[in-house]
Amino acid sequence: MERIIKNILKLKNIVKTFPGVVANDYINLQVKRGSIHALLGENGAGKSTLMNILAGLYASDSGEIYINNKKARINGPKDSINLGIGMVHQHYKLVDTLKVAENIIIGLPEQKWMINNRVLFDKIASLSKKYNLLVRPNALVSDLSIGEKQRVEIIKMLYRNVEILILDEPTSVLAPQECQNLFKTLREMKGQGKTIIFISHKLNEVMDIADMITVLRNGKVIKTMKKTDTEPRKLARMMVGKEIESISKNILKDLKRVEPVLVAEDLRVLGDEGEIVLNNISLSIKKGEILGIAGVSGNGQKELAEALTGLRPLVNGRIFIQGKEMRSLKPINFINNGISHIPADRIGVGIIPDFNCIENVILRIYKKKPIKKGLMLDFKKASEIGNQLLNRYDVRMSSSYMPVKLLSGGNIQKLILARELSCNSQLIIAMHPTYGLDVSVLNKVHKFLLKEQENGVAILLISEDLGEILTLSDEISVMYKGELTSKRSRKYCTIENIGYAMMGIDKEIKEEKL
Amino acid sequence: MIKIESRRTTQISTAIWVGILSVLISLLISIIVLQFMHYHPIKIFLTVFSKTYLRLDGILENLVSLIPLSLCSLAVVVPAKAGFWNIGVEAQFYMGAIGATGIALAFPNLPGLFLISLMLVAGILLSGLFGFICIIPKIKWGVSEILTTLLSIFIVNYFVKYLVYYAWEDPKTVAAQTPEFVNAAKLPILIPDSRLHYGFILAVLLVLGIGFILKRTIFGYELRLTGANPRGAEYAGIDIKKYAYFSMIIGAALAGIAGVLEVSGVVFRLQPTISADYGFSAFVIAWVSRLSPIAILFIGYLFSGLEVAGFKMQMMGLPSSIVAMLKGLILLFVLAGETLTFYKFSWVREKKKSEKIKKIEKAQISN
Amino acid sequence: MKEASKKLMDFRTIVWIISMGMTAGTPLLFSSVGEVLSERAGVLNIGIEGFMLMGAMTGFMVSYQTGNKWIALLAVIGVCCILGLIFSFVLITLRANQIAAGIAFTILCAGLSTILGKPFIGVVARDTFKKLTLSSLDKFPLLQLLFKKDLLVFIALALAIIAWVFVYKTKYGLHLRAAGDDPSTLDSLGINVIVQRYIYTTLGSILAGIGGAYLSLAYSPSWIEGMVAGRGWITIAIVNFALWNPLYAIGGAYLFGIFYILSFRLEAAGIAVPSYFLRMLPYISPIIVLILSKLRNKKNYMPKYLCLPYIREVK
Repeated sequence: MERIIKNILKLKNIVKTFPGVVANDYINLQVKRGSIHALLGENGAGKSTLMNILAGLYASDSGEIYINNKKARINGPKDSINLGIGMVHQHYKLVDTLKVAENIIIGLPEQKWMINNRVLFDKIASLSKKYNLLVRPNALVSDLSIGEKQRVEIIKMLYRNVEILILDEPTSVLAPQECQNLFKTLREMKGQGKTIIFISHKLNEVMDIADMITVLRNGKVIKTMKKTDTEPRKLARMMVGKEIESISKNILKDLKRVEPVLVAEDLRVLGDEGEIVLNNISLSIKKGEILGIAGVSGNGQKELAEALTGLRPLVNGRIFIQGKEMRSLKPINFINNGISHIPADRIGVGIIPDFNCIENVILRIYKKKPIKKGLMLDFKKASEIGNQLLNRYDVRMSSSYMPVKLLSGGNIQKLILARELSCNSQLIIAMHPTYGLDVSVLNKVHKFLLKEQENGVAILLISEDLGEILTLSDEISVMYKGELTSKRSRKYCTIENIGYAMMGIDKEIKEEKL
Repeated sequence: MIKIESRRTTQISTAIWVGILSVLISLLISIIVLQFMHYHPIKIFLTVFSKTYLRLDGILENLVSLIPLSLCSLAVVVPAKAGFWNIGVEAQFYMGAIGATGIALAFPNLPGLFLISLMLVAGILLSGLFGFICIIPKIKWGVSEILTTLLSIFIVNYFVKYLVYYAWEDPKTVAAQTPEFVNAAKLPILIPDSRLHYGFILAVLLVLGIGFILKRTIFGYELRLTGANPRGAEYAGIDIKKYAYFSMIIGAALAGIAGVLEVSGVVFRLQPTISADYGFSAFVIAWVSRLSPIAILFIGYLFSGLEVAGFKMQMMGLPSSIVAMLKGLILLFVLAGETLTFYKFSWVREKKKSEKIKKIEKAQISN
Repeated sequence: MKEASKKLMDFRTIVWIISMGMTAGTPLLFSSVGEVLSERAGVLNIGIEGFMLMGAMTGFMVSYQTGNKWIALLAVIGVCCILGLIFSFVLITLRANQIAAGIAFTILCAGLSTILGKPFIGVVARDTFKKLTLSSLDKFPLLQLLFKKDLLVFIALALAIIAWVFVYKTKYGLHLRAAGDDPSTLDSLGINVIVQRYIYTTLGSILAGIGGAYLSLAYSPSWIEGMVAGRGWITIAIVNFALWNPLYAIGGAYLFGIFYILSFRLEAAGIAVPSYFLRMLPYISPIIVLILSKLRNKKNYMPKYLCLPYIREVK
């Protein structure tokens, strides 16, 4: 009789590098059959990269994968699927214009050429029932809610008889009830002998659902342990590493009598699909204050930044800058009133990829003297001032005339900062300013922002990175599903009470008993 | 395994090589096709091309064709820099010619300079308006300007035929043409014993001027930004709709000026055939020149030589449509060769393990 | 009595117009179905005008030289297949700009077809597609109008319906739609997007060639330069207007066929507009129809990755 192998999956010394960064640094991992195994870590820790290698989308630089103690050769997604591995990605791989049933069977070799809806629907229905995954086979994917889309992705994998199901940040966009439904499904799958790998950065959920937990940080495995052998505080410390390093920051003077730079009243904004993404949001920022808005992305942050810079129309609401109401909501008016914007989409919106560094860095000041000379651009002055800016903000490039798209992500961000922080703004709206940047650049960016604060500039910091929010902010607010909690002073905020608000469990940031 | 990666810098030298090779290969293919059809092209090619490019009267004729070709190429370039396709240059050319003809036939008694200025204004207004009409469906309803400009070619073609056969027909002949213009409506000749007229100066000035505006003025800078990244331009505060309208109107007006210059400088009447396919040639020239106004003058010169050569070839028994074939082939090869300038093809083997580990260690140190 | 016959006259005229519209629209139907397939896979083939020209010229030439219209049709398929593969290579593998390459290709085909077709200008056709002699319909004048057409009209109609079934009811249709709407997802499921695009672009070219051949072998059997007269561009409008659905393309193609016919019919009816303006009708109508269609349909049916070369991220 065959021995049932304990470890269905073994990863040995997996290494994966991208230019300038080691995403996976000799990772060793063992996953028991029939368990729910969580990969826990912050953004950029290397969790998704590792699983993408397992799913056949990336090729590892070195290392080995063993399935049921047999060495596996994974050269592409087809190989993974044949080995019984299926991955549900963070950004769902579903074709929006096709129906649910069509998405489930697409690419399946066993599928006959003519699609028989009845047979298909029956099989989907039975899977639905078995695993508590309610889906509508005839609906168009573009009409589904995010929770439904996730269920379709899972059924898609089950239809292909996966044994190992990988879920990448499955709960980041789910409501609490949908989370519980998902967990019910996962437990049912575990009962049927399936193995589940659960990638997440959310401590409490991991503590809820996982049997085994592996913490990753900076591409390395910190520790693997049973859930019962640990608790959230220990996990948090392992995830973040050292104590949150406090960059020396001037304690804010009493700002009670200072006029707010920006006041937004009852903003109601629609998203790209016509749904409400900002639901009567109000906020105000004083001169010299850093207001940090924490929250998982997808809760309306991008749309908030766009609404406050004229890139997205308001259905309702008013915006006041220095007490003056903004009647015309065009981007140029916000710019002329001293609002700078460091956008979320660095490359798509933040730069002009084919233009050179000088042309990009002067984008906020080319209409002012001395670069503007009558109807013309004074290129000599532009070069002079541009180079000054690029140097001041430490932008590394081989020539300031090279196309900016060839710069590394960190340098592109520094260029955007050079541009946005040097035009005498009153308010800087910074969205995810250090997303995807390594630690040295990250610290530089923070230093630049703090310097602006010293000069009296107000900063609206919108970020997923709690560490960043806690490091820089004077006041903190949390955004959840289009609603904003009230501000709370940094003194009273911790990872826990902010975290609960981020998860929507608390409607406001609770008072922490110190 | 063939690996394709983006090049760090686009090499101009590669672009020039690609251009030269494209022309040579296109010529080769054309010769093969002609031989297949039992013509004897090589001798004719040599005679014709040397006459066109190496003799003074050939050179001057080329410059005459360069006027409409360069302006029409600009008509493609300006909207392209703003991110729009103006493929219907042919239609805008004729609209300009129609405007000029209308004025010339209606006011034959005005003094020369005034009459010609009026003709220019009429041509610019008509063609500019036409360009505006072609871009509105795109801005307001999302209907591609490719379709509106392309279909407009046929519409305007029929309009010209109507004018030439009915409204403005020349009562003296049955030929498809309007009466000849009075002398006041004709542009004076720049170089005696040739057909090169004063329009040449205007054309060159416009090419240099537009190049200057695009590169050095704020208007040009914002226009180019709109074309390079519309979302980024919007984020920088630019009104992208304004540049959509302006770029098409200016482009169409340039083509219209070409039309005016052609009827008042070369043909002296309106006919349905005054454009020897200038519209599509302009498209080819604009692309091969990589949308650079200066390059348009040189490459435009080469192509105008081709046009002139085409006529001469026809007189020597070769079908003139070989020129169309050449144009199409050259552009196709240039486009095909563009991948060589933007991407680098390399042969990649599986790297040895030790190399990879060295790479990792290097990356770790720099972190 | 006079009243009744007048009514019948009008009705008869309408049926006649629709019937003639079907014939006139058949070349457009062939090319539209082809372009729907090509664009659904993500490739914009602006070279259609060129393929139609080559199809028209090749069809006429081979039919004249062999005296057999079916061999001519086969030759058209062969020639357009080769040209289509070359064109696909430039667009898909070399990732050239699809619009510029399409225009280049059209210019090239215009020149090539003129040169190769020179000996055949004004020549009388030898073997063409004639109307079917459905003698059983002789008793029904109206049905006769509608159905006494050459075989290719019905082939075009059948192809459109088959294409519709293919796209919406088969698993290959799913692959096709995904290739244009979400190629990376399709790729991650193991289907080669590049191969898909090659197949459908070439198929589209072949169908366009057949559409062109219809012009020279059935509609107005002859070879004239400029025979295609912009039908390739109108095809692109039809595909947009038909929301990339082969079944709607039937309506679109016949509609524009009717516009072609109308311009001559109105002239014959003695309408007071100069004939040249009437002939603009088939070229103005696509734009107006498209504007109306966009006003009604807020949803965007265009394949999301149309015109964008697919680059597989090798990591």
